[in-house]
Amino acid sequence: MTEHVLRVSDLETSFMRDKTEIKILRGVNFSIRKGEILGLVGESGSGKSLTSLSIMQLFHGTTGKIVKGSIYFNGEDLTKMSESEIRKIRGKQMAMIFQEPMTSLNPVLKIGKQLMEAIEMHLKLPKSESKHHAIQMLKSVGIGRAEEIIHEYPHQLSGGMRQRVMIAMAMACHPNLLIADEPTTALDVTIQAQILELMKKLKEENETAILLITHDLGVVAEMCDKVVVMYAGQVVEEADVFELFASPKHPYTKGLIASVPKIGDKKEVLDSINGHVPSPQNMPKGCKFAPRCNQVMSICQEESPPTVEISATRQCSCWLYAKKDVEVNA
Amino acid sequence: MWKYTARRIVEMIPILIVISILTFLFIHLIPGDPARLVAGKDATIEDVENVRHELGLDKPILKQYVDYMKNLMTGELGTSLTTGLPVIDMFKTRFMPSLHLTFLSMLWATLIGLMIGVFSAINKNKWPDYFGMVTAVSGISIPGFWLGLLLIQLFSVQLGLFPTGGLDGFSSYILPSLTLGAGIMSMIARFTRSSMLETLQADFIRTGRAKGLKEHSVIVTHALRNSLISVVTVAGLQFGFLLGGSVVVETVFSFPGMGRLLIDSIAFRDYPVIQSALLLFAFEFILVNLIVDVLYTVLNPKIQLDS
Repeated sequence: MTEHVLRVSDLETSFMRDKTEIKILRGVNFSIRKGEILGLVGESGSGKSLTSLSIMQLFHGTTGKIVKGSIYFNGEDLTKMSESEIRKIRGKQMAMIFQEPMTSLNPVLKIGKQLMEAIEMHLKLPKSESKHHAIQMLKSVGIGRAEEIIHEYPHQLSGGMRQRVMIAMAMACHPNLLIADEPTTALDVTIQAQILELMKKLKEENETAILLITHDLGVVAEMCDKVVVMYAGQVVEEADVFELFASPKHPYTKGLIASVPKIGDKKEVLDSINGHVPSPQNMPKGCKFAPRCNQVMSICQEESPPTVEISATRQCSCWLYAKKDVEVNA
Repeated sequence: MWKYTARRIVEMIPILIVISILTFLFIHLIPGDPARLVAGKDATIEDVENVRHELGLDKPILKQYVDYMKNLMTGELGTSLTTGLPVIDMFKTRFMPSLHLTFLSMLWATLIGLMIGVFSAINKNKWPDYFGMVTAVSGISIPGFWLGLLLIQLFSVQLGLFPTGGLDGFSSYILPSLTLGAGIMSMIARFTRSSMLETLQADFIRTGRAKGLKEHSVIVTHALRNSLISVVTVAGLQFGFLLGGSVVVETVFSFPGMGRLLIDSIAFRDYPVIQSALLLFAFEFILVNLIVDVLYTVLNPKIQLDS
C-alpha cells in the first residue's frame, strides 16, 4: 500500500453571516494515495468546492473558516499551519485548477509572466531558466507554439488552450496533489476529452494524486480510481469506482446514477431526485437526505446515520446498512 | 502601441480644424461690431474703419479664416486689448505656472489617492477603510476656497511656513496644490477602492493565491493593474480641467495662472485673449484624452488589439 498524500478527517468549515455561524461542511472524511485519482461528486451546494478551498485554505475575502477537523498533507496538519507556511505549499506541493478557464487567468499579464511567477518563487530559478521551464511545461500540456504563446495574452487563446495553460501552471512545480475543481465543465465535449486525457498522462508521469471535483458521472467513470459522494456537507458514500457504478449503496448515489440519461431509453421524462439540497440554515434533523429519500424510515428523521464500513474499500452513511449491521451483531 | 498612437494623432487633425473654425467664428459671434469694440466707445467712425482694416475684418470671411490659420501656425495670436501685449507673450508667463501647479497637484493627489484606495479596499469595513473614506468624503465636500483660506490661516499666518499668495519659488506652489489636489485625491481614492474591491473578487486573483503568491504581489501585480483603467479615466479628466487653470484657487492665492487670466479677460471683454485661451484649452483636452487612450492600451492589452 502506498502512503496517503492527503487525509481529511472530520473537517468542518463554517461561514459567518450576520454574526451567526453557518456550518457548510459537517464532518468530511476521505483520503488520497500517491498517484490516485479521487472523484468528489454531488449536486451543486453539496460542499465539493468548499472542500477543495478548505484544503487549499483559500478563504481570502470571505468569512470562511475551518472550525474543526484536520487535513494531513504529506504527514503534516495543514489546519495547524500559519498563512506563510501554507503559502509555501500552495502552488508548489499542492496546486489547483479551476472551473472557469476564461476568467482564471489575469487578462492584463502575458501567459509567460503568469507561468514564471510561481516557478521563480517556488523553484528559486533565475529568469532565463524559469522561462525555459515555462516553455517546457507548455509543451508538456500539448501546446505546440509554446515560444510564441508565452508572449501572448489570455484573450488571444481559446478556452481549451487557456485550461491547458492553467494545467501547465498548476503542474509547473510538480505538485504531489492536484485539485481540479470541475476542470472541464466549461469546455466543449471534444476539448473535455483532451483535457482529461492530458491530466491522466501528467498523473502517470509525475505520480501526482488528483482530487477531481465534478458532477459529471461520465467523467468519474472515465477517470477515477475511487469516488466520494457528498451530500449537504457530508460524505455519504465512498467506494472504488467499479463497485460504485456496479452496486451503489446509498439511496442518494442510486438516485444520482439513475439520473444519468441512457442512450436508447425512450422515456418522456428523465429520472431525477425529487426536491432540493436543503439550505445550511434549515438542515433537517437526522439524516440530511431523509426528506428526499425514497427508502426513508422513521429513524432517519430522528438521528444522523453512522458511517458503516461495508468492505475494506467501501463506506456508507445510511441507516439501511447500519440496521443490518446491528442485526448481524446481535 | 506606436501605430495606434500615430493613428490617433492623425485623427486629431480634423478635430483641431473644427475647433479652429469655432474659435475663429467666436469674434464674429460677439454681439455688436468687433471693430467698434476694439476701437473703443469714444472712437470716431474713421477710427473704427481703420481698426476694421487693421484687423482684416473688411476682407471676405474665407480669406479672414486663411489669414487666421496662417497666424496661428506662426504663433501669432493677436494683441490683448487691455495690455496691448501680444497674447502669446501673456500666455508664456501665465501658462507655465498653471502647468506646474497642475502637475504637482495631480502627482500627490494620484499617489495618495491610489494608496488610500488600495488600503481601504484590502481592509474593507475595518478602521483603515473608514478612515480612508472619511478622508475622501472630506476632500470632496470641503469647497476649495474655504480649504485654501484655512490652509493660509494655519500654514502662512500662524506658522509662517509658506507665502500667503503670489508666485515666488517652489514654496508658493505648496498650498495651492494641496487645495487643488484634495478633491482629486478623494475622487481617485474612491474610484480605486471600488475598482479594487471588484477586481479582488475575480477568479484570477484566486488563481494567484492558489499559486502561493505573496499577498502584496497578488494586490499590486494582479489586482491594482486591473483596477487602474477606471482610475486613469478619472485622473485624465481632472488633469484636463486643471490645465485650464483653477479660477477659485488662483484667486484665493493670487496665483498668476491661466484661470485668473481668463477671468480677467472676460471681465474686460479682451476678446483676442479669450479666443486664444479657448483654442488652447480645447487643444489641451484633446491631448490629455489622447494620452489617456494610449494609457488604456498599455493597461489593457485587449483594447489595442481589438482596435
